[in-house]
Amino acid sequence: MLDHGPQSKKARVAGEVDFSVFNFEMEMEEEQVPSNSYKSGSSSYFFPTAYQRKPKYPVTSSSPSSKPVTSSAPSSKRQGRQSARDKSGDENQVSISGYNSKQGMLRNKDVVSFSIRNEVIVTASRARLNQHYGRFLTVIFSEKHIEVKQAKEILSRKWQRDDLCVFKSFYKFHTENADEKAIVVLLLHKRRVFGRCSDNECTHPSDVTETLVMEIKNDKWKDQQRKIFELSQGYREVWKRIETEEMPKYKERLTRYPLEELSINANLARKVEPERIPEMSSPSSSWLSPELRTFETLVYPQGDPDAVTITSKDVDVLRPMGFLNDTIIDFYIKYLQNQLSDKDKGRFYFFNSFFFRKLADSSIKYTGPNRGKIVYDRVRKWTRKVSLFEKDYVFIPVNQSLHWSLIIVCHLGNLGSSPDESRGTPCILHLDSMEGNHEGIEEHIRNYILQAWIEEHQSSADEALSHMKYKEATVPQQINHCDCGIYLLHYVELFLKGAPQHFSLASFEGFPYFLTRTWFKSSEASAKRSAIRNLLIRLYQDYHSSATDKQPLQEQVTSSQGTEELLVIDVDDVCISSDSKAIHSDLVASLHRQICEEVEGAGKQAMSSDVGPGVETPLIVDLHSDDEANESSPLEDSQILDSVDGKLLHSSSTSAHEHSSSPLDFKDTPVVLASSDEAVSNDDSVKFSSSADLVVVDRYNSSPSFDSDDDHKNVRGR
Amino acid sequence: MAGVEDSSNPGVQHQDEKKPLDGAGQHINLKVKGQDGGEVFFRIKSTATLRKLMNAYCDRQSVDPSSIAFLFDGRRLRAEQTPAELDMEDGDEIDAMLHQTGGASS
Repeated sequence: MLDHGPQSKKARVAGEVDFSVFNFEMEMEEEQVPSNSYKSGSSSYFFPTAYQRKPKYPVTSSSPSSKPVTSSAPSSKRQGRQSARDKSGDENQVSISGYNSKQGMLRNKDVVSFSIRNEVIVTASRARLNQHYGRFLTVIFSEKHIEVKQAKEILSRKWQRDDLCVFKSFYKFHTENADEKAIVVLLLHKRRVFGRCSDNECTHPSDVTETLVMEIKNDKWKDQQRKIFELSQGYREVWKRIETEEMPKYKERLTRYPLEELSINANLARKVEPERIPEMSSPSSSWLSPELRTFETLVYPQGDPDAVTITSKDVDVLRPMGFLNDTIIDFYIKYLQNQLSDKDKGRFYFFNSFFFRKLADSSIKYTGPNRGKIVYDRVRKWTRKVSLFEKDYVFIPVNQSLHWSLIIVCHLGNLGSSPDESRGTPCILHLDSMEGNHEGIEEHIRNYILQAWIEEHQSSADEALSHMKYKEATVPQQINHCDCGIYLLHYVELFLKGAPQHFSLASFEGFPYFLTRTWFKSSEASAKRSAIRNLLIRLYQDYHSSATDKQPLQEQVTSSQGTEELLVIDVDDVCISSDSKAIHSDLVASLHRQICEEVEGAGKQAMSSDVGPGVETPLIVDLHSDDEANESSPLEDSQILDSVDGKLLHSSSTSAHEHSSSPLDFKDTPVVLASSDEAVSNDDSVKFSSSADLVVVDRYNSSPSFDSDDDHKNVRGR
Repeated sequence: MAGVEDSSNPGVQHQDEKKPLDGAGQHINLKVKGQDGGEVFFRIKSTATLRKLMNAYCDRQSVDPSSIAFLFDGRRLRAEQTPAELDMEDGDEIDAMLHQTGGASS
C-alpha cells in the first residue's frame, strides 16, 4: 500500500538515508502535539504517528481523531493492538498515502533526493531470514509494516507490524563501540486464517513464523532503533515485553549460544521458536501452543496391530517448512482410511511408506534372471492377508531422493479381462507435485504387479500388463521446496473423495475429469500442515483425557473431598526431563504449599466438625527429586515434618511402596505420583524374567555376543 | 550360533530346539535385516517386548533408535509389542529401515 517511488527505492538499495529530514518532521509534529488530547491514558510516551498528523492535513479521510488509540496498554497488547489495527486499518491507510503525497509536494524544497515516508530504513550488512542468508538487506520499518527488500526474491517479505512478536538487539562486543556490530533479531509470526475446522467454532490460522536476524553497525542501529520506536508504540511494546518479562530466559540462551552463532547458524530460530513463542501473549497459534509441548506419544489407531506411533518429534516436522516424514504420511493415510465408510474400505488398499522403499532397495541389490521374483518375494508377505486384485484402487506412497510422490494403481481386477472402459481401466497413475523428480518408478511397480499376478493366477500375464498404461497425472504442483509430503496427502484425500466407481482413462480425453492442474489451490494444501497438527493434538488429548479418566489413582484422588483442584495432576504438567528439574521442584514446592494450606483449613474443619479420618490428606511422592534437587528444594525437611497434618514426603527416586514402611503413617492416604510420564506409563514397561530374554547372534561376528540382561535390569520399577 | 547359546543358556535352548512354539515364554529366533542387507539374529522370549530387541539392534548398529523403523510383514512395529501378539514365528524376519523424509529439496 505504500508505494515506493523509484527514487526512494534507489535510496534504500544504497542504504543511505538522510534521517535529518525525518527528524525535522518529527520535531515539527512534536510542537503541535501538546495542544492535542493524545497524552491521555497511562502512556506518557510521545507518539508521532499518523493519528496526530491527521488534524493537520484536511486531505485525510475523516477518521475520528479523538479515538484514544494509544491506550493499548501493554497488559492487553493483543486486543489493544488488534483493535487499533481494525479501527485504523482502511481509513488510515488512505490517509497515510494522502498525507505522504501531500508531504512530498510540500517538502519538495527540503527533500532533494527522495520523498518522505513514515519509515525507518535499516540496512544490514549480513542477514538471515529463516534459513536463507543474504548480504546488504534493506529492511523498512513503517508504522504498520515491516518489509524486507533484496535483489534476491527469496528474502523479500512484508509483514504487518502486529506480526512482530520478538524484537531485540544484542551487541556483539561493546555497546559503545561504534565500529562493532549489533545483532537485531526479529521473530515475525504471520497469522493467516485459511479455513474452519469441522467442529465449526475454531478457525485454523496457518501460522508462519519467520526469523529475521540482521547485523547492523552499532552507531547506526542506536539511532535507528530510537526512530523505529517513534514510528509506532507497537515496536516499543514488543521490545519492552521481552525486556521485562522474558529477557531473563532469553539471556540465558544467549550465553549458551554465542552471538556469532546466532547470526550464522539457524540456531536461534530453532532454539527460540518452539519454546519462546508459546509464552508470548500475542499469537493464537496452536502450532506453538502448550498442547504441543505436552505431546508425548500417540498411537493411532489405538488397538490396531498396524498402528502408527507418533512422537512429538514427528509432530515437529509439521512446522512451517518442515519436511514430512514417513510417520506423518502413514498416520494421515491411516486416518483417512479410518474415515471411509465400511463399504469403501474394501475398495481401497494403502501400502505404507516403506513398501516402495523396500521394493526399490531390493531391485538394486539383486540381478539375474530371477530378479523380479526375488524382489517380489521380499515384499510378498506384506499383502498376505489381502488380494490386490479385489481392490479398485491401491495407493503407494513413494519416497525417493528426498521427495514424496504417489502411485495409484487402478482396477487391477480388470487386468487381463477384455477391455471394457465402462468397468474401469486398469492403469497406474503417478501423482507428483514436482514432475520429473521421480523417474524409474514405473519399472518397480510394473514388476511388482506382474509378480503379484503370477502368484495370484499362476500364469504369466505379460500381454495384459503391457496394455496397462502408466500415466503421469496432471496435478497441482507445489510452489515451494518443502510441501511435497503435504501434496501427497492432499492427493490421497481428494482422490478418495472424488474416486469414481469406475475409473476410465477413455472417458475424458484420456484422463479423468478431476485430475487437473487446478484440482486444488496451493494454499489449500499448505493449510494442511496446521490441520494435521491440530488433528494430532486433538487425538492425543482425546486419548489422553480418556486414559486419565480410567486411571484408578486419579479417580481415587478426585473422590477425596476438598482437594480435587489440587490433586488432579496432569501427567504432562509434571513431565520431567533432567533439565527441567528446577521447574519440577518449583511445582512440587507449590503443591506442598497449597496442600499445607488446604490441610490447615481442612484440619480446622476436622476439629470442629469431625470430618472423616485423614482421608483428605494427600501424599506427594516426588519420584524425581534426587539428592541434589532435595538440597535445592525450597522446602526443608523439618518443615515437611512439622506440617503434621499434611503428610508430605520427599523421597529420592524410590517407589511408593518402600515408603509405606516409613515412620509416617500412610494408611488410607491417597497417593499422588508426581512423576514423569515415563514412570507413569510404565504399564507397558518390560517385565523381565531373570533368565536372558534376548540373545544377539551376529552372523558376521564369528563369536556371537550376548545381550546381558543387566543392562535392562535397572528399568524403573513401581 | 546354537552352540554358543548352549553354553549360556543350555536348559532353555534344548527345550526350544525343533519344538513347535505354542506356550507363552518360549524363545524364538528372529532376524533383523537392515537396508544394507546386513542381518542380525536375535533370540527373544515371545512374551518379551520388542523394545529390547530394537534397542539391542540399534546399539549394535550404532544408530539412534528414533531414526529406525522396524517392520514385520510390512507392519510397523511398536516397542511395546511382543512377538507373541504379532504371531511371530521362529525364523521370521524383521526389516529395519531408516525413517524417510521428503520435501523435494533438489
